[in-house]
Amino acid sequence: MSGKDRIDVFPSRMVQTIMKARLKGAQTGRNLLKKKADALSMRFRQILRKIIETKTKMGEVMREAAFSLAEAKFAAGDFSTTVIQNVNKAQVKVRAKRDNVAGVTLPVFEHYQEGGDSYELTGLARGGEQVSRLKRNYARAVELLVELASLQTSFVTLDEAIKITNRRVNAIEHVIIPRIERTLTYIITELDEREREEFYRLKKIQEKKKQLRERTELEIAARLAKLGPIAEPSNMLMEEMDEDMLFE
Amino acid sequence: MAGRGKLIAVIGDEDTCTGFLLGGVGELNKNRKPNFLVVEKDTSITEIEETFKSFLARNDIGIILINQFIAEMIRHAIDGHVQSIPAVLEIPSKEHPYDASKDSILRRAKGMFSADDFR
Repeated sequence: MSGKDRIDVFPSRMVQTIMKARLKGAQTGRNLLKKKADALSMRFRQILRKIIETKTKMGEVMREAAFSLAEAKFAAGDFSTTVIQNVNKAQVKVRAKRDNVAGVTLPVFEHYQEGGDSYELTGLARGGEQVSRLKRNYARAVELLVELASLQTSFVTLDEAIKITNRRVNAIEHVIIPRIERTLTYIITELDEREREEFYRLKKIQEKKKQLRERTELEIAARLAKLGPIAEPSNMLMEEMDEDMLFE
Repeated sequence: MAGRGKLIAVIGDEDTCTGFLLGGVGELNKNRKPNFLVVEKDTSITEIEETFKSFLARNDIGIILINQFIAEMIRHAIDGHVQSIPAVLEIPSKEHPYDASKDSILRRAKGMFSADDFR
């Protein structure tokens, strides 16, 4: 992208006014975008803090859930294979809702239950209480994880949005506005130069006129001198003899 | 379109998968394909990566839970995934507690990394 560009326009006063309006528009746009970027960054930092909190909480919840899994295995025997084989329909699903922050739509996950518990009969023989406690622990873990996932997606989307907005702010600030300013300076210099040319031309014409006038005066004076001492024009009334032109 | 009912997929070791299946996230879709993968000691990295990519390609999966040590194995695939949905969440496993410095999402938090994470 060549750096020293300006917009190609015919320099005139109307274009100058238009360019001034455009400059104003670009500056307002840049300020608005800057505000948007600031709002997004603030939200971004909030979300990041929340993510770190939730991740630590999640670490604990997962640990507790793993313990209860070990307990249940101890009490009820190894049911992993049965559990894995008996998969058919999920009871917990998530929905993606759209949330709006400073003009950016963020996806938010919401979890919901659907259908009954397909593992109701697991642990019926032994360790039923451990298994049900295990199920509850893991259900709680899933809820927390869904919340964490929402935070994470908003994080990623906000990151992108902030990058784009900053890119636009920089583009306006470092490319558009300098270009318009250069065009304005160009128009002003052209108009000034035209005015100078006009002025110069006017002066030249005046000079020429003056010279012409002086020259004609000199000529008249020279002719008068040649005519001799009779400095006055001939008087028709005093003329005595009229030359006969026709019959001579 | 608010995406009615997206699933939660799980890629983890046996204990993790059992736990989450008991929590009720497991489902087999029309082609009898499960939304989870039990990773054992002999599961190859290619298989894990294939399953991960297939989960990404499915449009009925909203969240992918993956154990952190498995995520380490397919780190490049996870780092390449930049869309917001499906969300990839790294969870600790029994042997490997949660390590914030390896989480690919937190690593993208450009330089806000130092003070906050190691609390």
